Amino acid sequence: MLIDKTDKKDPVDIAIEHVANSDIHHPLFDIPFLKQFFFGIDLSITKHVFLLFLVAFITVSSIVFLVQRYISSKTKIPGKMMSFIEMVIVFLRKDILKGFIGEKYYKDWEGLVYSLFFFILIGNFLGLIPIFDLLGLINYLGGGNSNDGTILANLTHGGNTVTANINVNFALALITCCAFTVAGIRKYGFFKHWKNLAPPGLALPLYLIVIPIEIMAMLIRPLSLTLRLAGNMMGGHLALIIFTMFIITNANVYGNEYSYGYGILAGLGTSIFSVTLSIGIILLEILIAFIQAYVFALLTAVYIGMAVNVDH
Amino acid sequence: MGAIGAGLAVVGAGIGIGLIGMGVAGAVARQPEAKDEIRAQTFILAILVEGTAILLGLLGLFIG
Repeated sequence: MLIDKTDKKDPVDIAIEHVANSDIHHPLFDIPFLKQFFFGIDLSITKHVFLLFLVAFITVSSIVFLVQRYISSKTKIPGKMMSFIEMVIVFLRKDILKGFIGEKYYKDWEGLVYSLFFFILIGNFLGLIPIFDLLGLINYLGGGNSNDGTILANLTHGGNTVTANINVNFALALITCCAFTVAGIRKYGFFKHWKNLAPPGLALPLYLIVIPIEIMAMLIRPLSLTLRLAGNMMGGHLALIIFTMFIITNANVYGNEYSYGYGILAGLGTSIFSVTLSIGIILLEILIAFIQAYVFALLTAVYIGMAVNVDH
Repeated sequence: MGAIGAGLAVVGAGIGIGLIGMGVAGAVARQPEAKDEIRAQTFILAILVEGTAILLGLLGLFIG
């Protein structure tokens, strides 16, 4: 997000826009005719939809390409990337899948857990690479404006991380939700699965309390998955942009139309502080990108395991 | 007020995760061979605490 002199906005608004969902008013590709087929819902391709396509493309092309090349090779010697993928998959299989779903049923849910892990991992990492800020800078240096409606300008609106978008995360969480319901129904049958939610052998009045609590716990699972991923990915970027905004606010406080010098000096002084902190936060974000992808895969496996291995 | 609430949520989560970490350190020191199982359980508990903190933090910042 670049601050140009043409729109005098509050730094707070700019900071919020840096992490917000990409809005429909700045579509990359406007597709108005699709509206009539989908009950008036605008299905234009915004920045985050484009990013989703990009993440899916990278996931499929890189992972599938590498694995296929490894399988079809005669020597079966993994390269650098393939070793990394193998390490991650062995770790996921041993610690998560076999640990929580069990030796017997884990093979059914392998694909889902690996796909979720790599999709979220690549989505998180794409948000850490400042491609779109660089494109905004190029646009600005070329005399453009962030509101002039070209594709390059529209790419600067909205956050960089696709997994910081609550809609994306809710879709992923719904897949998890469907997965553990299907897992339970496949093993126990439709009615037995819903009966398994509440523990048997309680007194009748207790069921009046237990059943609503269990239903709420089940419905809150996708919500908590959504907000955890979105909050973590959004939080890091918010901290980054706020630390960067310190430079501009301090330059604005100490400088005015008559004395630019103090403003520039204050900005430079603050930038030492903010850039140091930003580097620290970026390193933390790299760690968090891994941990959140791991956590999403882990919780998917835990929920499936809870539906499949009912203790009582 | 919302900002104060968000801060309080973080304090609570910090205490919670700190207690989990204390328990894990003690457990691993006592039984190093059960390290893998303890780590898996730790992650789940820490995630639950952290999820609450993030939920409340976002609520505090956006509503308050």
